[in-house]
Amino acid sequence: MIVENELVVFLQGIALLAFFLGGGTRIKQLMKWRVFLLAYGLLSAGWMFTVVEGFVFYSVFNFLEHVFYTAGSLTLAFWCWSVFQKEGENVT
Amino acid sequence: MNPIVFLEIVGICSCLFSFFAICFVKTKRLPCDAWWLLFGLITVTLLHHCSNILEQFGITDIFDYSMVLLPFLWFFFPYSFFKTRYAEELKYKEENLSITFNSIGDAVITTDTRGNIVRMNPVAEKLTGWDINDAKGMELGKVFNIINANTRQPIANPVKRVLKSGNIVGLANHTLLIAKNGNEYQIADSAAPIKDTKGNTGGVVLVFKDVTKEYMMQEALQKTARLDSLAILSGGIAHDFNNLLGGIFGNIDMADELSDNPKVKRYLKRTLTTIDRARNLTSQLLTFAKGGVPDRKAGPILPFIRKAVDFALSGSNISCKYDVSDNLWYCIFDENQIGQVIDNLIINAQQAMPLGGTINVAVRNVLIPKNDHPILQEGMYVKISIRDSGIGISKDVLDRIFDPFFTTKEKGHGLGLATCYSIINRHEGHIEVQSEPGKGTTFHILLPATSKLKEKSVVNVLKEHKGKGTILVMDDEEVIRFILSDMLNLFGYNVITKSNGKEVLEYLSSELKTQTNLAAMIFDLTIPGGVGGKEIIEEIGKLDLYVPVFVTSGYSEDPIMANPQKYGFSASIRKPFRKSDLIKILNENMKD
Repeated sequence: MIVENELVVFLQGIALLAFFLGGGTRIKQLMKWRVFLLAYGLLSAGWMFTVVEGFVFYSVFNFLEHVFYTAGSLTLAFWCWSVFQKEGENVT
Repeated sequence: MNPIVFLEIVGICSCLFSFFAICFVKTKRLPCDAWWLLFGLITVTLLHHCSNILEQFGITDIFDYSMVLLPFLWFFFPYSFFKTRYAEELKYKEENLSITFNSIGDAVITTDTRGNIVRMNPVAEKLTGWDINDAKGMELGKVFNIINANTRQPIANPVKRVLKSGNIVGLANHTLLIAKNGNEYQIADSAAPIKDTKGNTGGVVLVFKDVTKEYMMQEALQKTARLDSLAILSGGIAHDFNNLLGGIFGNIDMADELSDNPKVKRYLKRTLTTIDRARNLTSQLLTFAKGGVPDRKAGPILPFIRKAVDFALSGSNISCKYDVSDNLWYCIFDENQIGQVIDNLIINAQQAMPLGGTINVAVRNVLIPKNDHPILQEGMYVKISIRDSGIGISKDVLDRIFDPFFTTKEKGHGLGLATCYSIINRHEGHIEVQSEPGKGTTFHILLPATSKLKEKSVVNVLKEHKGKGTILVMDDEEVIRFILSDMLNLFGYNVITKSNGKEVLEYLSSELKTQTNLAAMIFDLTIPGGVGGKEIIEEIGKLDLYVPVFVTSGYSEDPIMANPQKYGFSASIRKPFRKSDLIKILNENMKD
C-alpha cells in the first residue's frame, strides 16, 4: 500500500539529493560535508525503501528502511560529534 | 528482541547523542538560526525512529507531518548555515578590507572593468577633493583629472590603458592632479589590474601619492646645481678681474690724494666712481657665482625695505603701498645682499609696468611648522611679498626665471634674479614667484627671523689713521703689494712685502727675533698654486704673536671673509678696497 506522505517525502528527498550533488548549495564548504551528505543519503534510501515496501517484499524493505534510518541517524550523530567537539575552529 | 525495535532504539540513542553534541558541546560559531534548524532536523529524525512506539499510542499525525518536513529541514539547515556564515564572513572581510584600505598612506582608487569608481580611501578623497559617496560609480577621468605639468595637456586615463594592456602602468613624470576645488598636486602613481584566481581582470587599482614637496625640492636642487656649474666658470674670471681692479683702484686713489690739480682730481673722481660701479658688478657676479656665507646681522627689515624701495622708485611714475603686520620680527640678513635683491625685484616690477602703477609690498611674520615647507626648515620667518600689476609672466618663462643668463630683456644679462635666488638661498631663506599673464607678478621672499635683536657695536669711523711699527704684507699681485705699501707708509708704518705664505713663514721664523716692532700682518686669503693666508694662519697662531692679522680677498663670499675671527684673523677687507676701507679696519683693530 502506498502512503502518500511517504511518497512525497521520497520525491522531496530525491530532489534535494540531486540539488546537493548538483552543486545547488555550497555543500562542499560545510565541515565534514561527506559525512553530512552520507547521513542524508542513508535517510533518503530509507525513504525510498518505505515507498518500495508498499509494492513488494514488505518485510525485507521495511527492515532495510529501518536499517538505513538508523544508519543515517548514527552518521548524523557522528557528524554532530566530530564537528562540534572542536570549539573555536573555523567551521567552514 | 525484534531487530526493528533494536534498530529504532539505536536510532533514538543516536539522535539523543546528536542533541547532546549540539547542546552541551560549545558551538559558539554556529549561527543561531542554523542551530535551531539542526535541532529541528534531529527532532524530526527522532520522531521517525519513534514512529512505531507513537503508533501504539495512536499518535500518527505528528509523524506524518514531521516526515514531510524532514527533507526541508535537511535543505534549510546547510542553507541557513551558509547564508549566515557567509554574511558574517563577508562582513568581517569587508571590515578588515576597509580598515586596511583606509589605513594606506597613499591614495588608492579602485574601479570596475568599465573604469567606474568602486572605492576610494581617505587619502584619495583628500587629494581629489571628491567624497566616495559622490564619486562612486563615476567614470575615473572625471574624478582623477590629470594633466602634464609642463604642457598642461590632459594625460590619458591610466585605467583604460591597464584594461587594454592587462599590465601595470606607471604615470610619466610631471603629472599634475587637479582636485575638485582646483588645487594642483604633483603626483606619482601606478595602475594595476585586479585579477582573480583564474587571471580574469575584475577591475583596476590605482595607487598614487602627493610628491609636490619632493618635486619642489628636486627642482630647487636642480636650480642650485645649475648655479654651481656657472660658479666654476665665472668665479675665476671675477676674481682675476677684481685683482686688476684693485691695482687700478689703489693707484687712482693715491694719485687723487697726491694731486693738487682740481681738473685732474675731477677726472680721477669720475674714474673712481666708474671703477666703483665695476667693483659692484664683479661683486654681484661673485655673489651669484661663488656662494659663501653672507655677513648676516639681525635687525629690523622694514626700514631697510622702505629705503631700498623708495630709492629704486625715485623719479619713476610708480607708487608703492605697504601692508605690514604688527610686531614684525627681526630678520637675519646681509644688508648689501638683500639690498641687491630688493633692488632687482623693484626694477623688474618697474619694467613690467611701463605705464606706471602701484607696487604692493607686504611684510608678514610667518611661522613654518616642521616638514611643512619643501625646502625651509621649521622656524620663524619674515615673508616679503612684492606684487606688481604689470604684464605678468607666461608659464614657460616662469619656470626658468631664476636660471642664470636667462633673460627676456634685450639689454639684460640674466643675472639679476639668479643672483636674488642665490642670495636668498644663502640666507637660508626661499624665494618663489607667482604670476598670471596680464594680471601681474608677485615675488615672495622668506627670510629667517628672530624675536631678539643683537646689539650692534658702534664704531666711530675716522677718516684718518696714524700708526707706527712694521706691517707685513703678503699678496701674489705685485700691484696690490705696491699700493698697500704706499698706503701704509702714508699712515706711518714700515712695510715688508712677501709674495706667498711660505716666504712669510720663513721670514717670521728667521727675522722675528730681531724684528720686535711688528704691528700687524695683512695676508691675501688665497695664492694660486701657493700657500695663502688661510693655510698659514694656524702656523702664525703658534708663534705667540699678539698682533692683528688681516685677511684680504676678492672672494667676499668665502666663509673666512664673512667670519674672519672664527678662523683666527682679526678682520677682513674685501678687494678691491679704498684707502678709507683700510683706515676703517685699522682704526677698529689697532691701538696706538
